[in-house]
Amino acid sequence: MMAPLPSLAEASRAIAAGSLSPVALTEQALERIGKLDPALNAFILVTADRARAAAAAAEVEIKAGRRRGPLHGIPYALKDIYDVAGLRTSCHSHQCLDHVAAADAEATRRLEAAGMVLLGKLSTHEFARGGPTDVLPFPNARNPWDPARFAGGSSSGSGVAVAAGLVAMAMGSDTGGSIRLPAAYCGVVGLKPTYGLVSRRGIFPLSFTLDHAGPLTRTVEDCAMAMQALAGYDAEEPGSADVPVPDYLGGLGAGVQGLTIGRARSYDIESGVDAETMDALDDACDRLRRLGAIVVDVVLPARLRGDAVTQGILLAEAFAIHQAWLRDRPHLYGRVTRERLTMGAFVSGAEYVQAQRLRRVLTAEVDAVLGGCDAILCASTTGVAPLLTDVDEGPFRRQHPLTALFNATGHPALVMPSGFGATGMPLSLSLVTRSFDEPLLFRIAAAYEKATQWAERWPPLRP
Amino acid sequence: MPEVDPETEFDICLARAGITLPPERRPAMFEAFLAWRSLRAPLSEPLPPATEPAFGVRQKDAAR
Repeated sequence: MMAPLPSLAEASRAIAAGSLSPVALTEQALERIGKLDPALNAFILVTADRARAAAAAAEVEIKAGRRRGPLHGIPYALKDIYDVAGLRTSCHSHQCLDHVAAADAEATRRLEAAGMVLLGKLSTHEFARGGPTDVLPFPNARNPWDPARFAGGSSSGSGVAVAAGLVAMAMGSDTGGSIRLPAAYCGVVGLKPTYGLVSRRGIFPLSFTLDHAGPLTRTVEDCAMAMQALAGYDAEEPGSADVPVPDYLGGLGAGVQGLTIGRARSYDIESGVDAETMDALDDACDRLRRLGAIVVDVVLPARLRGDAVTQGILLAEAFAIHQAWLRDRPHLYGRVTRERLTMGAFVSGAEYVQAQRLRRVLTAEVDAVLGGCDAILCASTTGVAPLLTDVDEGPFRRQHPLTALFNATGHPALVMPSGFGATGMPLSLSLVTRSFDEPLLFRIAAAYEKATQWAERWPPLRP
Repeated sequence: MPEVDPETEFDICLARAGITLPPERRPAMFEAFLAWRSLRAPLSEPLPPATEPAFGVRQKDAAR
């Protein structure tokens, strides 16, 4: 069987050196998808003809000395809520089976302009909101480490495709953790960038003021490479931030000597994080200390306040988007999605406004924490991926994601592997920095990654 | 002001939204509604005027 795809950085260097061709790399990806994806269900649509044509064109351009940049000729894939002109954006729902996009999403446009090769569209929880066992028009993605366990969501196909080595980079979206949770459960790197840094234009919304777009990759360096192409102001996106785009790669090797890491232990304890996850977080702190960082305890806002804010906003905004369909054609949703979206009917106008106001308070509180340290380190989940039979698919979760606080505050948050649990499933950690300080986030994450070997382990896959 | 009876609030919210639940899902949805009611308490926290959710992005754009 074909080997897992090389990382973006490895592929980029090999293409630049002339030892790897975009056509061969794309064929490798298509063969691996053909062999493994029938059991994984990461892809809803494989755009093989388009990919072969794009790879061939990239090869011609590169051989002619017109290499566009480090991502030219490298395959990628998109969560199926991203528009690609001429392709269906299904949102993994019967509601959208006839929807063909007229134009590329801005993120798609940027990756295409960088010369990347689209392999296809990836599985998601329906409208980035439903559950992993809903009855939908396409099967749900399976965790490559153990198909009986949850792959995380809603960018489940993105996490699975990267973890299985079907593609080196996939795009996801994150409203309460939907990039970071599949990254955590599948053992890859996932970034929710600062709010406004990556345009969401052309991505089907779930919650206008909580939605973020970002990449999932195997390594921190790949994440930084992807962000170099993705970040930037979009005048046509109301939430887009008009800020300069820094160099995300230059500081990757600078280490953590003298940096202060704020360990949010009380937040994790309050969230019910299990012992093996806490041990891995403590081990990460020890490693960072040995690399020269100073680790201090910090206190994040109480979970109850964060959950009230994120749920109040998410429920109301998602309901505003879906109300007409919930009323007129509810049968076209899966049960879990329909019920979770219906919950927005119970949020009053006053509650929504109060949630937006309290959000400002929480943002100021996290800003204050980051005034006393360079980055926050906390758990991303309470433990390893649960069994699918244990996943809560009720209309309103009993426990809300730990990750959602930073959707409300907008700070950049990166999830990465932190080891493996007793079941052999990946463990993970979260790092958070000041808004728009992704360079520091990548620098700390890269230092930790270099001190570990977690990224070198692959799930035990057989065709 | 007296607290509204939860079942009354539940029914009014759904009726106003024009949404009809399948009868067999009503208990689960009502339980979820109660869970949201218990979660929303922090939204009654007194907040200062500076937390007004102003249309800040556009204001800054106009000033640029």
